[in-house]
Amino acid sequence: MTENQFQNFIKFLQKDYNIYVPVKEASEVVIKRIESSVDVEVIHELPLHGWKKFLMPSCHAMFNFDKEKLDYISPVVEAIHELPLPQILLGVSTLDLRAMALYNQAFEKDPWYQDIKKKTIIIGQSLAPKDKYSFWIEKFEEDQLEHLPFDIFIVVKPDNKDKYKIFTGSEDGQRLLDKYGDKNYEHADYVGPNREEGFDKRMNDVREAMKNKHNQKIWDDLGRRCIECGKCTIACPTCFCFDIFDTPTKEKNQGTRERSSTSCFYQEFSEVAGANPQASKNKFLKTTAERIFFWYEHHFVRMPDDYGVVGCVACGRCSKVCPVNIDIFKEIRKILGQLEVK
Amino acid sequence: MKNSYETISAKIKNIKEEGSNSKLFTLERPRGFEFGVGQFVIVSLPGFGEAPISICSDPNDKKSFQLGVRKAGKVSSEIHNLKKGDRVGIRGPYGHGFPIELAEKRNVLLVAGGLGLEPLRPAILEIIANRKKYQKVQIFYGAKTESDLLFSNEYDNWLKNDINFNLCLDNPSGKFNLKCPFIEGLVTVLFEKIPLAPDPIAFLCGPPVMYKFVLEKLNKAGFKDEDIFVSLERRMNCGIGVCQHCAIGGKYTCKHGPVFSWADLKEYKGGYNII
Repeated sequence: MTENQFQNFIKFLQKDYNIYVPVKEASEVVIKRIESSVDVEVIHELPLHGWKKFLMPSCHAMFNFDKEKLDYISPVVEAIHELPLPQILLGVSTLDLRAMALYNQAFEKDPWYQDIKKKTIIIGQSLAPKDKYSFWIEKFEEDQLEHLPFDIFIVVKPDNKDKYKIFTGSEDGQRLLDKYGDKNYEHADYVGPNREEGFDKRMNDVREAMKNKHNQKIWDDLGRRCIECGKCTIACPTCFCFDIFDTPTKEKNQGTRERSSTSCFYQEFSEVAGANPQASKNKFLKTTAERIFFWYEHHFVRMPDDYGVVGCVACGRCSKVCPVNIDIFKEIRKILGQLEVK
Repeated sequence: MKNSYETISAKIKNIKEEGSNSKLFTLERPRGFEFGVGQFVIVSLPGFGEAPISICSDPNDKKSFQLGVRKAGKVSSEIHNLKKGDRVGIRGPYGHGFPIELAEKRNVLLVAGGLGLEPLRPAILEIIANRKKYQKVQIFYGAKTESDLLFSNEYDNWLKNDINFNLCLDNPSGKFNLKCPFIEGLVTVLFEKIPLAPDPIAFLCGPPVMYKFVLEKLNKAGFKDEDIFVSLERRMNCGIGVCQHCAIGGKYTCKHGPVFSWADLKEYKGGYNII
């Protein structure tokens, strides 16, 4: 597609969908709903807060209850999803597509996630961020596409007249392009998140080191620096821990059961019931060092073990938002024994 | 798609005081509800929330199942307000319980501290129901004081069924006319006074501090790590290995546990103490 054709295609999609796209604002990149008159720019930079709220609301009602009976609340029908559906997530980087692949696995049997997913079209793009955290990012090649989950993918070729090369990854994607009347696309069937040789070797090395070469000095040092604010867990595109709790209404025996994202850095995360839940014996992650280790262990050990997908897409968001300058890439090098632990 | 968070309704058939601050609830067993020794359910009390609770009854009883609940938090306190005939939501049963099949044709040692007797009672009842399948069976049970004792009206029956039941009380009040003899002290005291049957399989449930000392005793007594099984407590929300609250190393207490082989747990070389 030429620039012109691409803009027309987006305007065509706007008739039926709410479209969200990363936009450069004064200090950061944010995801915004696009207005019909404005042209869309596909950009290199990652939105500081990723796409996860579009697929899993940070807090949502799961059921209405009446006495002990629970009634499923569909995110599609009852708009518990704060954003109107159907939606198109446009300009999703390959990093964030990999995070979505992980969410797809973790919430494979989750009816709320799947309901939202069915009403969502994902349009990926090939531009990669260029900042100090980008050295871990693989250069984009078309052979990566069969391992990325998307409906439509745009390979951006800035110097070509046909600036956008279009791929489809799903029947939904094909249907939209056919309906628009552009048959000039290739199809890349999704074969799963990993290449034949397994997942990213560097990340696998981190997993091995976390499991078998534990160096307590790294975690004691992080335990002294981390202030447990939980910002990294909010910014991280793969973090998904949650709480389930009930909110009663004024009507007797009625209310909603809700799910809300949480952070493993919060004190109550590992507390169990007891006369004094704050007492050390009722809390299983007792120190900051234990909590930050738990976070790394989730991403580099449990996520790959549970879903066969690496839990870090190397976006660097956790480091960008960290108020005490914990740089995940430096810490990874310490875990791998490539950087001295002071 | 089956929604894992939906609950089935179970009617309360009976409620009885059992131990201090603790009640034993007998519930109608819903159709198709099968559970193993040491598994747990998530009890849903809309308006208050959900809580994981061990099933403490005989898995061979097809009509009902029992939950022992101590008033400890928001949900368990509210469960105490329920009446006979009320209904609660249940999901599960969840997790892997005690591998009772591995205990067949072997000597068995059950070690319980406090409320830890709840998930071990199904093992005791299964052993009684099929007594010939198991060799010598010993129970070491430690409680704080007489009023905390769980299932005290059943000890006679356990003894009658050739189970070597041994009790210790940390702080006996002497106020109760306890028929069963006891030794004063913590559960580890029993290891010093009671001779162990040779080469047994051990099932443990109690507070973390108990594991620390009991595992030392078992180690000294020559138990193999793969013959020791411990049931762990953790905060849980989903019950299906997603929400992360109950993660231990690469495993989930709700899904891979709550009962773990000590050989597996011991392998964990991570950054915090599991027990």
